[in-house]
Amino acid sequence: MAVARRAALPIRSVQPLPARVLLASGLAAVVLMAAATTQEYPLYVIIAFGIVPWLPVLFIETLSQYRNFHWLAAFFAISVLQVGHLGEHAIQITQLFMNNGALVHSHGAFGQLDFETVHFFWDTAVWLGTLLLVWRYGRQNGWLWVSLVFASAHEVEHMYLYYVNLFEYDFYHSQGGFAGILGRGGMIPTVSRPYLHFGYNFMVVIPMVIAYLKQLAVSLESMSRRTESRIPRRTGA
Amino acid sequence: MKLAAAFAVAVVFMLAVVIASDQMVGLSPATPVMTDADRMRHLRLVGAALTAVVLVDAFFIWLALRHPPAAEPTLDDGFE
Repeated sequence: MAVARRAALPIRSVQPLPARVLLASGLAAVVLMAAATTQEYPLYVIIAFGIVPWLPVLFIETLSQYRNFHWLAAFFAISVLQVGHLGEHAIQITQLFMNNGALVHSHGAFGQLDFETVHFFWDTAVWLGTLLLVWRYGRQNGWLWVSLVFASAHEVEHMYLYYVNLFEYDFYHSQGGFAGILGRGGMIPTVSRPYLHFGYNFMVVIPMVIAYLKQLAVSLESMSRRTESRIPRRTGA
Repeated sequence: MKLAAAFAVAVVFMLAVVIASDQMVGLSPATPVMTDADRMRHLRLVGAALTAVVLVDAFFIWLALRHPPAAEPTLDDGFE
């Protein structure tokens, strides 16, 4: 009996959050965003209002995954943050489209954070986080390697940009340094910087999310097998 | 395999959006263009950044292949 009770605990804790909790969070987000929009708040306030109701859900989910799978919680947290990051780049691309390419009006929802120091430290954290995930799950998850290739290329780009921003101010601002390595006007010109970095992030985030979902399925399957092997069988005797 | 194919389609779509947006909308004001002299001057800098990233990557890949972390605790270890 004691064995059965112990085994039942993790299965209950990894069940998806109840639909009513997700519905309530979604509803709260919609109402808050609508209220902020009618009050004509800035875009970052509207987006923040849309995010806040989801924070308790994300916290509980991360905690649950930590209790059951340890490292998978870090995988989940990095994936969620990166999806948000990709969303910010998508908003910037949309703003460029709406503003006829005017960069001054197209810095994403949280444009106050659109400067090289933030880019550099964020992307370095993503790159190092991906490396840790490769260390932990790389042998069984090929999608992480795809993410790592592009996270590394992106990191080279931001190392260069951060350096020229810090030490060659004029070059960065008025002689093409802002374009970086692969941006239009840069060392090996391709497309303009905002479009290029949207592409980088797409190639980092989508494989990472796929890798996370595959890893979650593997972990759940493994836990289910362990638990089944623990439940005492009825012999009918 | 289906997932890889879907991802490949998504990548092609993303590239089409990025290239078309850059061609049709672009950036205003356009970014100044580096001179060839600046490009040559910064080759060593880019090389240094690339080397640093490749070395760190190589270390973690070596760790992943030769020294993977111990398996996560299970119920047998009293972890709940």
